[in-house]
Amino acid sequence: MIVEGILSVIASPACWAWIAVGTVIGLIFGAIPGLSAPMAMVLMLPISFVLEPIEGISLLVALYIGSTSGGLISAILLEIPGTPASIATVLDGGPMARSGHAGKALAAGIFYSFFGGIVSTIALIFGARALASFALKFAPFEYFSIAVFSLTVIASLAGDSIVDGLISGVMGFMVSLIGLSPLGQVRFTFGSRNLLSGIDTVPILIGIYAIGAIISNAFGDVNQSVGEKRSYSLRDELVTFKEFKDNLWNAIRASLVGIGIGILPGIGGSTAGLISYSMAKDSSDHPEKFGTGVVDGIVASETANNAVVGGSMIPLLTLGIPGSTPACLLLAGLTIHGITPGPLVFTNSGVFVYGVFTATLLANFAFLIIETAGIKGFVKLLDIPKWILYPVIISMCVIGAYANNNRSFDVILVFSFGLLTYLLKKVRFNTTPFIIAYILGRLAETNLVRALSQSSGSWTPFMTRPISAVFLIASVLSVGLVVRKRMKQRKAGQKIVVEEED
Amino acid sequence: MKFLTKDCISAITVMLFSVAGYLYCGANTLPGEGEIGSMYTPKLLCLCLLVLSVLKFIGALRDAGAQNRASAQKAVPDRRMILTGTGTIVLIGLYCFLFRTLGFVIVTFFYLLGQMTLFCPNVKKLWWVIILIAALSTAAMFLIFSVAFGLMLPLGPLEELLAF
Repeated sequence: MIVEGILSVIASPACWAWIAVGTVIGLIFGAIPGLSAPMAMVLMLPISFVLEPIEGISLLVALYIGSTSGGLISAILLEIPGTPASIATVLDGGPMARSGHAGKALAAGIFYSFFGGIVSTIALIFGARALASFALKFAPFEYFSIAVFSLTVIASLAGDSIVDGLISGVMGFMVSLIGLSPLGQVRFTFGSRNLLSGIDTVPILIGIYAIGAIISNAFGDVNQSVGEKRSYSLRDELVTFKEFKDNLWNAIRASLVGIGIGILPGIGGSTAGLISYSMAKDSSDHPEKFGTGVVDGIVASETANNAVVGGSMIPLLTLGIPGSTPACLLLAGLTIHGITPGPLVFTNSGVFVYGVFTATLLANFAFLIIETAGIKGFVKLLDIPKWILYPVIISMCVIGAYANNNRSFDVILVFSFGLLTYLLKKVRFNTTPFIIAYILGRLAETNLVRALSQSSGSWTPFMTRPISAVFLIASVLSVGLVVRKRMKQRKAGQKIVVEEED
Repeated sequence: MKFLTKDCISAITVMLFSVAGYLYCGANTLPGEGEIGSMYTPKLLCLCLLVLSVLKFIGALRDAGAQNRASAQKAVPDRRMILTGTGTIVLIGLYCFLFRTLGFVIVTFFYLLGQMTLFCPNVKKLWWVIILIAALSTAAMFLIFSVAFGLMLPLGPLEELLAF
């Protein structure tokens, strides 16, 4: 099964080609501020429909990895993070570029992105198998508790208000209930035949991550200048063995932070980068140099944000719970190709899963080579005007929504969810809890109904079964700790600022 | 009505939505269905939403003063940006609603033309570039998705001409 899975990618020229295409497009979307990893992925979803499953998922994985790494280019050269995941890279990458070491900063960023990606892929390969075996013991009680834990973690960490995060999550959950219930009753369709099978994931994702984002940008300065680009040279600036040895512990710690954050639902690359950066600073012998242009800062940020990719794929493949926004799109891709993630994924689709692991490894090598070799080209792409890019992206997204089911109703849904996203953002609701709750809604409801049927309507087993109890206690703790922290911040008069992930 | 901040209004909206949802669930519960029926989870969620919206409303009332001060200090948004944003919503709306009727080719070309005109900072000088890009992009997308990938895009009045 393992060899067959590896060969399904290695021996397929089409997979190599789609990984290369995905990496290039991902790097472009990562490098250009205002475009994002989810946007690149929703854009390419329709293309992935028509490919073989392993080719389609290889393309999406390469897009995810490429766009995560591409953010470092503008973070270093323009001091504007191309993606939220590269926020911490700006802190030292910008000063390094200003002092004439842009080449060194880029080389370190690319190499340690690769390092984080490879370590997290190894964790994915071994962690997914272990978690899948463990998850076989889960009953509906545990599944429901995990879903509740995921929702509370996302809601408490996304946005600047827990109540707003929870409201957004509950609304996403309610949208997932539209259509036939697990017991066969039609709900919330208001007589529309188009809603009988529920709202498909693809139009919602496209509406939120492409249309909603572009509408929000349209109310700002679409053509704002990207700033002055700094000159650089990668020649003679590659990471030396001594530098690698000096930063080895920093990179390993950052990888572990990234993997851990990736496994936790909905937190994502920007938090991983910032936590890892602050850990590197706190444990450094020269913390005062952080922020003035030291390689250690770039190592911490870029290793961690790329390590999130592998981490977020562990719960995705083994539990069907996406650890990040792009992982939601991977889940959509898997579902479209008929792959059901969960504890039985190794039994039912083992060859495919090993193919995905191989594609993830290859995509990491692909971005290392393509980004290093083509950096000049990617930097030039920063000049493409947004007034051309945005309308073309919208058109391609509309095609994507239509192609999913060949229904013009899905195109209208795309617009509706795009507009809803804009309105939610206007009243400061974060859309991350909405989408993750939507994805988890069906899983949570099905397992809640099953669990309560087994317990004759009693909620007690949720607390008496150890794994379920641990997750429910963790849910309460996650909310409680964040509430306590924010109350402290409020008392101290600090403004709570949380970046919206991707 | 100084207490009626943006947060208060959104809290009241969510509150009304949760009450309406709960009533809908009550009205659509099948007779003879046990406690754990199809409307059990939606009812539970509506109750959660109601509690959360009340919490949001209380929080909004508490912060009303600070929010009013902040909105008074906030710069008035640029008129051009509001027009561009509103225009974008209208154009995307028309694009989506007319997608089937007018067909992909016609509606995409006119959408790109309109949207690029709205976004372009220098329309008077670049009008011919906009027309060229709109035409080429439409053709490229049609060729890639419809011809190369075989997607059945709606063609509207051009069906006879473009159907392969």
